[in-house]
Amino acid sequence: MARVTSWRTLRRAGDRPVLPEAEEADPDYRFTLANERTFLAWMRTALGMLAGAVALVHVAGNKHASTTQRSLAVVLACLGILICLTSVRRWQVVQQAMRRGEDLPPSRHPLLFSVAVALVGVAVVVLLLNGGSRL
Amino acid sequence: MLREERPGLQAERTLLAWDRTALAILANGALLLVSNVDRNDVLRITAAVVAVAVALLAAYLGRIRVQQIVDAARRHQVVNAGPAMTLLAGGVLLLGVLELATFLRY
Repeated sequence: MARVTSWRTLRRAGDRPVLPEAEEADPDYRFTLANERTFLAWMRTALGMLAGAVALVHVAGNKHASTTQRSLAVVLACLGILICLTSVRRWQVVQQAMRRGEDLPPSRHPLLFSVAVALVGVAVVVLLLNGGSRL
Repeated sequence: MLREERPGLQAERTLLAWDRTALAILANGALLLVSNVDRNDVLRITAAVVAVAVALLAAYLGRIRVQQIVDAARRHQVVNAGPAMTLLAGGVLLLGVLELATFLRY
């Protein structure tokens, strides 16, 4: 696997980059912060899904929501909960890769969650067109 | 080059990201309370209260975390992973589970 040395800070004052002695070393703190911001972006995505779920059921009134509304809300809420788990793991994996000077492993999470949300969106559109103002 | 970039800017962006997350959590709580009010839905009100608590936690964690990282960077020390991410994810997960429970109530 190609080793990426650009994660490291230049710890000496001279112009020559110094290779770290240890196998694992702390990455440049800017990369740590970038990883953290990515994790937080995932968290906001999860919260967006939870908000969508709440909008489906509660805004019209919990008692009056149809089974379809509830089902879609449950799907969205589960996606949001799932993101909480996958994003922590991803953050850890990326942090470790940076410490080891490795390339970041690819992730299918963005694609998978995009597809899932798109499907829910399609379902909502179809139901709105069939049912009029109520799902 | 990277070396000359002031350390404050990245830290500021990260702090703002934490604050944005806290606001997003707060918005979820507000959405729960704005709904067609059923005053007997204790579960919904509990979820809203939890949302406020988790939002405050996120704001607090963000400040602690960013300060930690900037201090460590300045002293060329190792930054440990810390529990901040897991705590935040746990809080949002708890909120999600509570909201899920409200959907399944009827």
